[in-house]
Amino acid sequence: MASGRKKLLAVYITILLLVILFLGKLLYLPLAFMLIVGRSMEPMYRVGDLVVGVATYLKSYSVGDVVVWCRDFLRTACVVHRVIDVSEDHVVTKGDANPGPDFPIPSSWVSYVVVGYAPLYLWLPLIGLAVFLAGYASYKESEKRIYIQPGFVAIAIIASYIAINAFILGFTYIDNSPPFYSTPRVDLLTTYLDIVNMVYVIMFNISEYRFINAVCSLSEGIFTNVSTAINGSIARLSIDIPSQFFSYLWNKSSAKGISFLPSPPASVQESFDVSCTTIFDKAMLSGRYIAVFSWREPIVKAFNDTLIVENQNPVPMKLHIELFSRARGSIVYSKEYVIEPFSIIVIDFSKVVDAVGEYDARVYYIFLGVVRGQGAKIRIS
Amino acid sequence: MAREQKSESANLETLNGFVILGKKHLTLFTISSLFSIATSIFVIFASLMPIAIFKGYPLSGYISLVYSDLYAFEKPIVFRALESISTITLSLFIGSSMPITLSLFVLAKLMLSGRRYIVRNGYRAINFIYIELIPASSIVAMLTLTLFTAILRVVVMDIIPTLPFGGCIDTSAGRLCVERSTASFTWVYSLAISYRPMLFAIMLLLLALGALTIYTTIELRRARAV
Repeated sequence: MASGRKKLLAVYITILLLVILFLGKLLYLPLAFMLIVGRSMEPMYRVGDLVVGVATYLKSYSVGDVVVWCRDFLRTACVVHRVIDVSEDHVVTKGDANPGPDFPIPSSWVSYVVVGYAPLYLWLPLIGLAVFLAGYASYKESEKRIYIQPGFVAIAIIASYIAINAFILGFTYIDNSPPFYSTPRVDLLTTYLDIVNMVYVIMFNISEYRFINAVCSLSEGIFTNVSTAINGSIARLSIDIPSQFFSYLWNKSSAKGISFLPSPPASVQESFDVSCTTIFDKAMLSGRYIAVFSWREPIVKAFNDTLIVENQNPVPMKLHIELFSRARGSIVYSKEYVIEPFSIIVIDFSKVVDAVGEYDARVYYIFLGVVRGQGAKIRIS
Repeated sequence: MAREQKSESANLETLNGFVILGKKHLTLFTISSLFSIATSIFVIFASLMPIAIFKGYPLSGYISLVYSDLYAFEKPIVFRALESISTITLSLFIGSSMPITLSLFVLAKLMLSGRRYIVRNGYRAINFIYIELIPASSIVAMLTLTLFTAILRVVVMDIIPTLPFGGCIDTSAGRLCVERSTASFTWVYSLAISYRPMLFAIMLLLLALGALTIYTTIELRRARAV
């Protein structure tokens, strides 16, 4: 009889301990049992598996450990994930089966370090056996006489329901991981300004959408023509830059003035915005791209009696060219020229000057509002 | 048959644990049982019904407490919170099946008691243990409805707002703005938003019925003892 009571007591103590361990997470006990309710840690832990956690005030953790972190004070909204990075104040975790990591969480949110687990098919029969043994031992101990007090049935039913709920809710959790979904990619492959052809090119990968149309505008809201070419998943937008737009930029920079220019030929960087709205079948891409180029001073070269001046700018330039005779000490030739964008002018001085000898060719122009000049030696023989 | 009933009713006082029910008691217990059953069926039905249905791009699919099928940008969403909710919903089904089973059992017993133990003028006798199942069912149904309300609120307030209904994404090529999906929120969603007071009223009613049936059961027991 006494041994039967001892056995019954042992069974009840075991069940009580199990209940305490199952509620350990809520009470922040040193040891707690938790049930896996999500699939984020598959294949290591499956839904229904039981994990055993040791509180972080007893056990430290490092990268690679599986931890339990909870967002709320009562630790009902928790996550069982693996630590992938630890900094001074924050921890980054990731579910083994999740496509990406969780957002960094404060270290104080980490409550337990997982030290062991039992699969569902192992722990559930064991718990069931313990409950059955408790019932059987109680029945046996009462010598097969059961007297039900009034109210016992109602209380037993409600208590059972609360116990089941506590069992399910107490040691499970609502996995707090954010939703994972792949967002569509529109990758910018390249942008460049083909200044000679006055075209700005944008290329991007649109593997997930079908291109419909594109509208582009330049700085100051100037709309421009866009031609498109689709090659597989690669879209190429060619945006025409009108020559007037470069004249506008030239005038704008000229009006602003340049504080310092090095010796010729100098170059000054210029940029402008290209805003494009590309319409796809299910989305719209709005991008602002920056085109960069340089204003360059004309390149002046001389080959014996020939002067070559090259304009590398997208705007025409006015030049004043003089030829100074060293022998006479005076200017023997003076003329205004307009040099078109990306073109050269060639002046053969042997055709305009009769006397042989050495001359100085002087090329004057206004570069971004600044009067500049370059010289070259001309030899007429 | 009538003789058998008479003889059984004559021996009723000697039957251990039996109480005699009047018409009022019978009505109260029947209403309470039916209300518990109705609430539990309602909880099961609401758990299975979709809360919201999404159509279009980028979000499509549906959410219910038990199962969700969601696609964002035409690819399946991995949403662990919904998986957890689905697991936790198990307690709703356990909690709902208990009042249904117990109340149906008691209703059956009440009907059968009319055949076997008619005392006089429609008065019936039934073991008080069965009567105790009625308030227990009401309380369990109330607790289940409370849990259902809490879980539904988590889904509606915390989970649904995190879904990508549309909007803009920053990409290397610029800001990609997608269309907005259309969301049809069902009456289950309304339960968490507009009809919450109704749920609280049902809970209070179940609690009141539970209290009333407990009181009546104790009174019946006391009357028998006297």
